Amino acid sequence: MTAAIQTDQLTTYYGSTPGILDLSLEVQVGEVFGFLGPNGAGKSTTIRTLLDLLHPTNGSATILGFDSHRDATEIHRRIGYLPGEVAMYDNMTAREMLTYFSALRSIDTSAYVARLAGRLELDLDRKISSYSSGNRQKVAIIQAFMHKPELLILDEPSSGLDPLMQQEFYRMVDEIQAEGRTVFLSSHILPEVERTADRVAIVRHSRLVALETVADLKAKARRHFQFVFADPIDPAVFSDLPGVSSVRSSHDGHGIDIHVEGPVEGVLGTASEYRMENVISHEGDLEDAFLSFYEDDDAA
Amino acid sequence: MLRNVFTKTLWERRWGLLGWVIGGFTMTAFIVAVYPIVRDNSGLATLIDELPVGMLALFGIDPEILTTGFGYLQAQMYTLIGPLFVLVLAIGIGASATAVEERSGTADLLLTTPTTRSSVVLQKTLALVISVAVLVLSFVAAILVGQVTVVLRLSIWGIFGVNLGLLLLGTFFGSLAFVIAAWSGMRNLAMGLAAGIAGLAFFINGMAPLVEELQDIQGFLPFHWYLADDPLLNGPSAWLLLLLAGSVLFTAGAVVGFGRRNIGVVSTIRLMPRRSAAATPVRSSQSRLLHSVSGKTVWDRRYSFWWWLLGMAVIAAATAAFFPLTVEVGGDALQDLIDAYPPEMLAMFGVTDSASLFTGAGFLSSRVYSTIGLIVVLSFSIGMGKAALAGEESDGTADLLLTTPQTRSRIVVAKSSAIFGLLLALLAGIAVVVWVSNVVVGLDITFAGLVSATIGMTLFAFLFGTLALATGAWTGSPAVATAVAVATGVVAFLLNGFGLVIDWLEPVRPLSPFYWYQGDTNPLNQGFGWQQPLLLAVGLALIASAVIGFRRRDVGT
Repeated sequence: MTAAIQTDQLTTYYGSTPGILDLSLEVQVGEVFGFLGPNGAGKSTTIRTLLDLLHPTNGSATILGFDSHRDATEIHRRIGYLPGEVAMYDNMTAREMLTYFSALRSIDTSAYVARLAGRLELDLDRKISSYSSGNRQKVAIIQAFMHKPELLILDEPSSGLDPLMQQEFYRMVDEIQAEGRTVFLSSHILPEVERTADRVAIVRHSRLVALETVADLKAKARRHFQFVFADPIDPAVFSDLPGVSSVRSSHDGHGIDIHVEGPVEGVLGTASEYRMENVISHEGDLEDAFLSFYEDDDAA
Repeated sequence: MLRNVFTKTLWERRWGLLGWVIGGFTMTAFIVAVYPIVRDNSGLATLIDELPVGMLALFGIDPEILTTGFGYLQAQMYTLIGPLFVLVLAIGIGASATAVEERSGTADLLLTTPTTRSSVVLQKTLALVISVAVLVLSFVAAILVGQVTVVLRLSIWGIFGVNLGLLLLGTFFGSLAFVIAAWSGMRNLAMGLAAGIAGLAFFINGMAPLVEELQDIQGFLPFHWYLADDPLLNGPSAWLLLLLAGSVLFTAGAVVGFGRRNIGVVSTIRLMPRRSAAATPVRSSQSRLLHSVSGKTVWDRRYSFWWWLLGMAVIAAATAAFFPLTVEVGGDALQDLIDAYPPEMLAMFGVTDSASLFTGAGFLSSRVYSTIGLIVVLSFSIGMGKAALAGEESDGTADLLLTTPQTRSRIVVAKSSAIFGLLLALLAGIAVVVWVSNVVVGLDITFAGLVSATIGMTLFAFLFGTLALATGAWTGSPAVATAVAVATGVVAFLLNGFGLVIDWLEPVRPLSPFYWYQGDTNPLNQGFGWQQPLLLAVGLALIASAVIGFRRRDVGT
């Protein structure tokens, strides 16, 4: 089966600064794919290259089997795009702008637009310039969803939405996936990615640093333990164990605060050799995984 | 440079100001350089001696001094061109000062710093004054060079007086635009209203020598305050205090208005009644425009188009209305005077055919289809051209537009055809007004002449619109697109005028689009020939270039 998105050594310079370097990844049809990275990592540059707004300096990309540059029009027909910084025609009402973009797609979306506007509780007949940033975002979301595209490319989709609307938006993404359509979603809101995505790619300094399922990433994530012992204990006992990234004394010398990456047997085995009074274990989450990638990088 | 609102405002305008300074100096130097030809033209002096003094007053000409440096500069530099430069700059700055910050949202940041609103207004006004002063100094620099090289024999006190007047005139209208923008938050309204008032005041002041009723109100016109009592000869006059007082009044008004504003809330002025919220999207004829890129381009101008047409209609109707008066005063004698003008001087004003300036067709053509009318229509066209592609790119809306299944080539073609359609509609509207005037006043304009001028001007303006469009397609910058189109226009204009009188320029004169447009006659007499297809061909070639450039662009870089 054709991949929804496939990039091969994709490199785009943004002016003279690197936007994204040697990016190779594959997004399957039907998948919700998270694209993570700090500000300025190259997320938007990648997306805008996939959409033929920027032209790659090197490498290539195919979207739904089409070449991102040569077949751009065919791709645009099949995708919905939500820009990271949404600029719209301020002098139009939302309805006017959506009518315009529907016409450019040669499709009548008015019924579905009305339903989406109902779900997102948006009044379509106000000037776009008069909307709050949350309402602008709703207009942009409707614009991306209204023609039921095969592939949705969403750049920071839920920014500006209130928690209730975020939940509604996540449900919309779930429905897309249930229908077998594909979502490529860039974000730095980790719970959002955790909630919606199957797999994630993490980019940093214009390079891909991780490409894994959310489950694997969480499994690998740093875990945090807090032990309290009956007798005072020397933190040095733990510091050389495999996977330990930080150890700190607590509870007046009776406790240990410890971060572990990978298998935890070593730490638990060692701890059990002492008289333990209490242990608190925090499950690793994506945020820990995410931060560990950054800290590694900072150390380098 | 970024320590306060004043220096920051100047800093962000530094490149624009540099352009104005280069333009201002070059233009003044040009005018100064032509002076010796006028001075040494004995035929002109003889002829002026024979003309009735009252009639010469109409041109602001004093027979004793026309051929002096004073008379020459007063007529050629300080009556029209100098004020035009200063007002365009000043009104642009005044109208944008706070309105642009409001629209872009930066006003929210600025006004939540410990800077008071009054202080913001005053600092921005000061930046306006300094900007205009810099432009005026570029005139002064060229004139001082002229003092030495072509011996203008002007007094320093006089140079100071007239340029101080110019600075105050600019401040007056700049702060007028500012006060409108400060109260309304609307840049376009401020610009249009201030420019309209300035244009009207200029027009009435210019016609005052012809009409007795107008002479009574001349004392109320800012243009009169600026040149009354010959400041170039006598130094600053007391009239200038009126300009100063007006500027202070407007600035105070801006302080009050901006202090009261709800920032970011624009009071929309509607020309059409608001559609009911429940209206279905595809019904009205307006939203039917929203079904294509070309339609949307027209839709964007569904209101402003009528203002442009109204402005041109006023120019055409007023010109026609004043024609009988001019003839009454002595059209033949005026024609003699024009004929006696050295061709170099006429060339500078784009007059390549002085033979018919005081026939109905020539009189109307010189204002509506050349000079003022031409500037208006070119502004309309270049404005559309730079907004078409570069404007969408800099606004960021290009991202949405270019990810629909419309190819970039189609978007370029659609926008170009919309620009052509709007220009044709504007020129057709003007033609109707001209034809009605022709019937009412009797201007001896032929229908065939009117058709050829309409088509010629449409194609001519289209060429400059597509030049702005193509430049925008390659660069993505509305400012560069505008600058290239305007600079090309000025060069082409001068080439056509001076190609007639300067030998070494003559062979290249046929390269000027102005030459294709009006040739050696006026547009109403141009008729059909190779010129129109050539104008069209260049326009189409520019569209082709825009297609190539736009397809290659990395959008937003």
